Amino acid sequence: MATKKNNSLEKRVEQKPERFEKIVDAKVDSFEKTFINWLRTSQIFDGMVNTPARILINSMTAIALYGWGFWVFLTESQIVAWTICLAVLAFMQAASVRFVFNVEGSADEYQSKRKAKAYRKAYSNIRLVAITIVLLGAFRASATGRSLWLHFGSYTFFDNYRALTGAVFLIALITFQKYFAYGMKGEPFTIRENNKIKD
Amino acid sequence: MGRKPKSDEELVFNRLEAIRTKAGMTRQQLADAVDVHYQTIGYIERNEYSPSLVLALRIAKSLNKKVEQIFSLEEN
Repeated sequence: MATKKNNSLEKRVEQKPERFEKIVDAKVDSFEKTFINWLRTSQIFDGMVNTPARILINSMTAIALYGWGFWVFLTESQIVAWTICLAVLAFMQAASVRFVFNVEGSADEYQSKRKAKAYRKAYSNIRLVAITIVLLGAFRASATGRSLWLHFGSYTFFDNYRALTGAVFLIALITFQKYFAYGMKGEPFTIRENNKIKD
Repeated sequence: MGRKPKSDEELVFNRLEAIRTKAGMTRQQLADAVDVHYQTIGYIERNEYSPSLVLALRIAKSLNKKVEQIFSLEEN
């Protein structure tokens, strides 16, 4: 009798963590589903998902990344402000495509297809930008009569500040290309209006 | 009929807009029923996007129709 009781107690003790894991898994699944559904349908980001907003965000990103980036590189100043601006723009870009690149499962099949296409296009765009930068560097080097590669010791074209600027630029370039490649096309102005459309 | 699909995409025509309207469903309601974004329903209705077989079957089921009643290879 006592052994039977012990066995059932053992079983209950063994089952408890399993049950706890199942409950936690179910809660996490439910939270993920709710979160993903919220991302898909939330009206908070409606101001950023329409086409004019995407054009504006993409233009601002291009100016900040290439224009301001070049200025930071030349003047060796404002790197903190530039980095913060890029981080804010990265969030705006993510929100403007409803976080399809950030949250797994938030994209439906149309968005997934568009996302895959954007990744492919971004890859070739990065190659194009890299080639352009190298060619511009080579042109500058030949125009100024300096060798492009062999003067790291005496020539301070790439000092610490500029190396850091280059690193931030590289990270931002890779981050933003997929958003550029995703295209300018956004959603209609408000989800509420669209909900009412029956035909 | 909406804008034509790009040349590298397969042409699939549909009567989704008419059938959905007849069924009294909004884009959002249909989108919720088949688990896609409401925009995707708009792209399909305007022939800007050809849905996968799974999505086409889900749409047909939600509207109580056969797939071929909604989607076709020829423009009706």
